[in-house]
Amino acid sequence: MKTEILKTKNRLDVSIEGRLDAVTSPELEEKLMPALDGIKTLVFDLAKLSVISSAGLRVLLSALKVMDSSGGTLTIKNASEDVRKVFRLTGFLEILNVQ
Amino acid sequence: MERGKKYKFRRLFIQISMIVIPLFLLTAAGIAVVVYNTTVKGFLEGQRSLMSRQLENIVDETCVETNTFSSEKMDWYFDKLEEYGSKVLSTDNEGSEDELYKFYETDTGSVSDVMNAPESVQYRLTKDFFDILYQAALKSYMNYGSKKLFMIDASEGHKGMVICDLAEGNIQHIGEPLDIDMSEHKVLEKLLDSDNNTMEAVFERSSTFPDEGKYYIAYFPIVHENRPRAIIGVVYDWNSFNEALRSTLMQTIIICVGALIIVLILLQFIIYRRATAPVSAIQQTIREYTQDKDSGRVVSAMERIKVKNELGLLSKDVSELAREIDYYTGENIKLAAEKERVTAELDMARKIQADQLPGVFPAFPEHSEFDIYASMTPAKEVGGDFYDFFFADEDHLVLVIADVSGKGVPAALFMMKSMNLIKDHAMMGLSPREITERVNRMLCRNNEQEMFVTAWIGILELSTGRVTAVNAGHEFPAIKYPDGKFELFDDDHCFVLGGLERTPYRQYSFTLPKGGTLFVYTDGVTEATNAEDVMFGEERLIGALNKTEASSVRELLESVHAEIDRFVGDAPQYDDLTMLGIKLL
Repeated sequence: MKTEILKTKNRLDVSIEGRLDAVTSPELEEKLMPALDGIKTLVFDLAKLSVISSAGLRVLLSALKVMDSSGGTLTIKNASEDVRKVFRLTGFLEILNVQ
Repeated sequence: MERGKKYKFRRLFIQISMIVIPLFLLTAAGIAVVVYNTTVKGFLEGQRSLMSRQLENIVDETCVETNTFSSEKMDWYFDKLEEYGSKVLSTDNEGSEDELYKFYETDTGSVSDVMNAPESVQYRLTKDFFDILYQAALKSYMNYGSKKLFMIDASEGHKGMVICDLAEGNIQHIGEPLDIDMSEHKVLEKLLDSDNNTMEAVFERSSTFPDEGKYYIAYFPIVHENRPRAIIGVVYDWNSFNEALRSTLMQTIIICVGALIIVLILLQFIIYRRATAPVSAIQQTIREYTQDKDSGRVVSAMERIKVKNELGLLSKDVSELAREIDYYTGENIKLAAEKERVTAELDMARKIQADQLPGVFPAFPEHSEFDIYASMTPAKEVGGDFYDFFFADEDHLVLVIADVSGKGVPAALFMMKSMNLIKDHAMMGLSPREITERVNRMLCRNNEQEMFVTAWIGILELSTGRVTAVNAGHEFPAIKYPDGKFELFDDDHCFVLGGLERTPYRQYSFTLPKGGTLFVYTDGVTEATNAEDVMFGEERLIGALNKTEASSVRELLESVHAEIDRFVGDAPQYDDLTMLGIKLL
């Protein structure tokens, strides 16, 4: 699993490649959470994300809570069909801004 | 490990001895050889110089007297010697004294004087000459204890003629040729033949001269005016040489070997004391410790080892090791006890948790209008799945199935909390939507661990068969209409409970007719994995639901459970298996 984080002013672009499961999610969490300081716009590019499990969803939820409390926004881009299905089933589709 | 097994064991002492002793013996042999050669050489050198000195003494003594003679005079003397032969040995001096004095008055020392002297004077002069030689030889013979001492003529014409011969028995006579086989005494032959004019002793060993036996002979040429005149020979008994030599040699060898043996014993002793014994003690102690784990005995045994080398350090380390093992054993015992305690507690927790779920079936014997059954098979001792069903009022049956994120004790605690909150709110007669909204808010608070729960909450109105439900991030329910087959119901999915406070929840409704069955479950069912890492999946679930011939809901659930078990096989169960089914009759 590879993560690339690009910061421009108070916008963070995060692209994730590979699987986001119980094994790889902690890595994302470690890199992502500290980087959210002072960010107003958080954008995830999931074009290369193949699988997401509940562990991965938890990381997204944590990030969402942070953005919520700081008044920022979280957007998901380029999610695959499979990933979209998971978002729908788990209700994330409603609370995340999925484009 | 018993000695009986084929472990090749030899005492260190013996192993060392097997190397050291041959080495020492070799060294001793080497020393013996060197000593022998050196001693023989030294001995011979000594004897030679002794013999040389002896011979030189003779020459010195004779030369003192004869140095004044000229060459011709010497020739004349030697001729006369041969002529008179053994007559010169007689002690008869009669009548010659007066004539001798008369001769000396007129003697000029030249050879013509003596040649013209009267016969008796010539005789007397020759005799005196002989005496000089003889006395010198005799003195030497007596002083040095030779076996034989001889003097032979080396001048032209008289080569090999005996001048004097001193020995016990076998005395040759003056003027006779020396009784010696020249071919066996090349050294002498060479001396006689050569024009050698250096006065140096030569040596040889002989087994035939003067008789059968072992002898050592030294020859010394007497040179007068650059011409060899005579050769003195001195014979020593080689056997007595040998005796002396052998005894010296024996003494040396015995001393050397004795010293080596002492050193060897000392070495072995030191090795034993400093290495072998301590090592053996350590080995014994360790072996005993393996049997009885008595570290006290190890410590006291190791203290008895007092060598001040690496083995002494080893003994201290062995003591230390035994103590450490003791300590860690103690710790291990504590840990094991602790683990047992925890396991026992978890076991109790599992029972408490299991008791929370309604487990008495048939659950409502007085209600014959529906058949309800549910089961929960936890993966770990305690799990996070739960189901619940209860009457909110006479006509409304609340059905709940939920799955807390995570496993183990944390999930179990959150499960209890969620279950109670849902029940409390449901008992207040709220709609599913209201229940989820309020429960969600309450779960979001005091939730530092960020746990959440997926849930399907449905309220069945018994009189109409109408089901109103909320799906909060949970699996699709499966519904079978009478004369139909089970199908997954693609219901409206909301977000989970306990995730975000602002989550909006929507409820939906459908009617379950008489004869219809509703089946809900958790993802432990669809995500059950076999050894090839394949998941059971929704299709197989539907397949299992439809293929069964079960008549009661209990049989339905049990057959689905069996189907899953068959599929999973030996692979471990990763998640709780929870199912709930209700059929309207």
